[in-house]
Amino acid sequence: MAAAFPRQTKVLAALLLAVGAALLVGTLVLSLSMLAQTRDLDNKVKLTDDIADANVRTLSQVQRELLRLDVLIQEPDPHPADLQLQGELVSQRVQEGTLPYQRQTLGTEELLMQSRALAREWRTEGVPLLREVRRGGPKAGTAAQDLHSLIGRLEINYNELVSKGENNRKLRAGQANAETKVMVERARWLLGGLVVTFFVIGLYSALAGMFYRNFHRQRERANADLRSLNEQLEKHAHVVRETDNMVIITDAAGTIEWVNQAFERSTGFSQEHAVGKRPGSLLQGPDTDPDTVAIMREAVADGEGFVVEVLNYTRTGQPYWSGIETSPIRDRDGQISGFVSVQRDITERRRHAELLIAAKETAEATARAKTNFLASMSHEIRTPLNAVLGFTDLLLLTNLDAQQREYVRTAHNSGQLLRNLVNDILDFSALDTMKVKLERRCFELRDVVDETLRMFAPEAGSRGLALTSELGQEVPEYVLGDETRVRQVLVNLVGNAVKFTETGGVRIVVRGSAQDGSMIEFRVSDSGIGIPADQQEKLFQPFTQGDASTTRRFGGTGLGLAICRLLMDRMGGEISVDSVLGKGSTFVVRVPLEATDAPDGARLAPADRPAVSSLRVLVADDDVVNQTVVAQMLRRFGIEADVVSDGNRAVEAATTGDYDTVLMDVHMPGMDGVEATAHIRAAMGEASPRIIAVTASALEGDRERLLGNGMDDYVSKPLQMTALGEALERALGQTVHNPSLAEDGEAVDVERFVDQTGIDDRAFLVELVGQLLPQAEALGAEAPDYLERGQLEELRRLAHTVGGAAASCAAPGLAASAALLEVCCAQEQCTEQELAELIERVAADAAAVRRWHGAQAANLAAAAEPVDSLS
Amino acid sequence: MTLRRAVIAALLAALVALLAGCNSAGEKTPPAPSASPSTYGTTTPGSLKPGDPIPVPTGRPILTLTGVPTTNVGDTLQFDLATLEKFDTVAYEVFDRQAEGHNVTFSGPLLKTVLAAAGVTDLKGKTLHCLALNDYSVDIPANDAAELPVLLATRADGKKMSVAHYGPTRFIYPTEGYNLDKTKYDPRWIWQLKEISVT
Repeated sequence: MAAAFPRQTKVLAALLLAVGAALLVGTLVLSLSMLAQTRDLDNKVKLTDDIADANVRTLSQVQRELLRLDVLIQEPDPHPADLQLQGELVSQRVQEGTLPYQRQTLGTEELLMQSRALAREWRTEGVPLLREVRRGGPKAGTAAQDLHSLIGRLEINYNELVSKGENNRKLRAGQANAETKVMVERARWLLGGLVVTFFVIGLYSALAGMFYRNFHRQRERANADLRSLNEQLEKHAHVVRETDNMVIITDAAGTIEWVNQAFERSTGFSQEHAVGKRPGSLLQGPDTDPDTVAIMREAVADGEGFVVEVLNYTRTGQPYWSGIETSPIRDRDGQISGFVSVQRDITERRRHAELLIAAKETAEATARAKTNFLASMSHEIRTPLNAVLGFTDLLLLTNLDAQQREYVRTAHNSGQLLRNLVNDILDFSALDTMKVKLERRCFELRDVVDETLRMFAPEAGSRGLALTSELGQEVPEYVLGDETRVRQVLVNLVGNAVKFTETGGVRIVVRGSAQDGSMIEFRVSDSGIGIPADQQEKLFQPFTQGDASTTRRFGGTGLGLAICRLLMDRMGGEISVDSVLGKGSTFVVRVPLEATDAPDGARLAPADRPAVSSLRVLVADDDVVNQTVVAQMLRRFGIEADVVSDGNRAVEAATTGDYDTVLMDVHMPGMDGVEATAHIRAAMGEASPRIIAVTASALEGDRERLLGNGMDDYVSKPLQMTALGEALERALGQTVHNPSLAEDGEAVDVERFVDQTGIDDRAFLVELVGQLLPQAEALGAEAPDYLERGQLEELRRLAHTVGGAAASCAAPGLAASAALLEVCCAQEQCTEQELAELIERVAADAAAVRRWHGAQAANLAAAAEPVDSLS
Repeated sequence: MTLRRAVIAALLAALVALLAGCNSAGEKTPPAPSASPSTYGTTTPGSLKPGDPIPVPTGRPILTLTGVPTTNVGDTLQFDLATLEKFDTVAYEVFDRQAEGHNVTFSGPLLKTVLAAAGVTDLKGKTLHCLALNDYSVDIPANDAAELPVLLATRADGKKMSVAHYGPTRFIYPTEGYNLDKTKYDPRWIWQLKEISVT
């Protein structure tokens, strides 16, 4: 207990004790002196009492009565009665003078003796003489004479006694006074000491009281602490006793010292049985994992805690899974004094977990299978769909009456919708399975914005909507990132905005982040129908639109915003919406785009492009404005282009002139770009120039459709300098025209293959293409024979097989030409000439695939790597 | 625990010592009278009661009271020994330190009785001017007669007192059972008393 108090308290207590003891001694001494003083005082009082008792008057009275008697007997005839009375008065006084207390009056025993001797003298001599005198007669005269002289003697002696007694009394009074003075002095000192003692005792009592109170309070606090500690301990002990978890306490070596009831219940081992043994020897059995046991043993040896799950056995040999949490118990010095181990029967939990894992794996496999199925289905659908679109496009160019044209247009539009849907699904599944790789190239932000707005300009214009944009000063001109994907997001948002806005307009605002400029914010605002708050978040989930009815009213796949969100996730950005129903919506996209310097040649000067300027270019466009714009742009590349305004003239110029490249507008009155291209190809074959499709549609499907329709490349309208420059550069590398639809590098689209199959294995693809090649080459070789024999159905089936296989192998060129061939055969509307051309293209495409295959196989062999990652 | 006990013990000891010192230094208070004045000593009933007429002395008058309502000679009240001894007589022993120097049993009427017979019943505030044969005189508060069994002694050890033996009458104050202050009361033991003047 005492150890619980601070040193300060102990010192204070010792001090108080010392002061207490000193006080005790002091008080004792003082008390003793007081007693002595009192005794002295008592003596003095007796002395003064004596002085008070003294009665000198009595002796003087003796003198007085003697003198009066003397006077009486001197009278001539004294009355006997008077004589008797006076004699009695003398006798009384004389007798009084002998009383013991007269010792006090006289001061000494000797003087008292003298007084008594005088009294005797009076009684023996004076009284008889007086009797004689009273009696009268002859002797009376002599007696009176004798009495007179006796009285004279006695009177003188009494006078002497009085004087001596008075002197003695004075002496004693003086002595008593002196002694009293001394005593008063001493008493004063004692009183002073007493006062001081009282004061000190009071102080001491206060101090001691304070100390005691402090001490008491401290003890109370300590007691309270102890009590609460006890209660807490009791609580903990209760928990440990009553919990359903098994609790084992071991010593530092791991030998059991205590187990709780739950342990006894669960394992069947009683306390007596368990104590003194190691838990392992009791609980572990044949299937207990030896590695886990080793972990536990090492942890105990190292004095560390551990958390493991291990198979244990009950006393009856019943196995159960046990979750064990063991931690060391350390004493005050940090030494390990033992371990406490809490064990839980987790058999059920493990069983559930295993079931869950199995279920999850099944679900994931199913989901993967579904995604793959959807992707390949979509791809499967897209290939023939391209053909449908291509031919409905062609059909629209033929002579149709109004009704037929309407039907075909509807079919064409529906096909386009379907293709968008399929593209979205492919895009989404690719993003969802993380198969999209983002580019990181320099591009101009303003271009992307302007381009996006221009794309929707016709629709917006026809509905009277204003399309505006604003780029903040802080927005960098050039940034690094994936231009295509950024554009895709903007197109999506603006497309939605335009779609859902009846009046007003759509505005894009671009802001840069103030901090480092790398975060770019695009805000696409509209004045459309708005989105209810409860549906805003759902917007970004796949296959969801603000309202199911909007799908019917406005169309769309409902994947657009989900794709945007996935893209933002991939790019490290975010997308959100802020909308008030009926007032409009603002979609906010924040995406990290690092600012960069203008790329070399971005501001294209003629001198920078000597190679491009050497190209001879023909521009085919029906719109005078476009012609002027394109010609002007080409001039900036140092190219003086020839311009024609319709398909027929384009064919004529291309076949007669010596052009490296034709910029072919797809949609032209009369013969459109696709048809003109077909004519040029037919007329010139391998010698035909590179034909770049120019189209207002920027959607990816168009590119494939056009490429599938014999175009070598495509750029979207409105024309961009960069895109045009790139296309021209590609043409420069391709001045010797390759007759196949796609270049070697594109004969097999590896990325698309990965996208559509999810198989990221180049070797596998090479093998797959290897299997495809014999069929494709057989088709190319045997088709003319089928054609000659008029076996179009057989040819169609063959083309279908090859087309499907080529699509599966992601060989777009071959897939497209085979698909066209198939469609041509089925429709029986194609001329033999057209069929022959298509067969030629199939053969050329097959050859391109063969070249790709050869190169890839050689690469693989050279790398001597049996498996190579596509990424 | 020991610490606390030690502290308490020290405190108690200090307190005890302090009280002891105080007590030894303090004065003892005088004890209260242990006997009632009216029942002190032995009383022998007499024939003369207060209120009865006091006869004119036939013997030698030994005590004269003046300034009292009851008178028998002129404006004084005079007693001879025989008349005094007709009152209820009280006797008790005292240590006659001042006169005989030994224990003496005095007897005589209580002063209160004599004063009552003289018609003085309200003693408060009255003074007795007492005069002795030897010209000694002393003033005594009349209230003494009410508070104390003061004797107007006529006999000592049964004998009449001569002048030589402080007679014929004297005042006796009790010494047993009363702790009377000597300085204050000794002078009131007047002997050879001959006259009391009441004012």
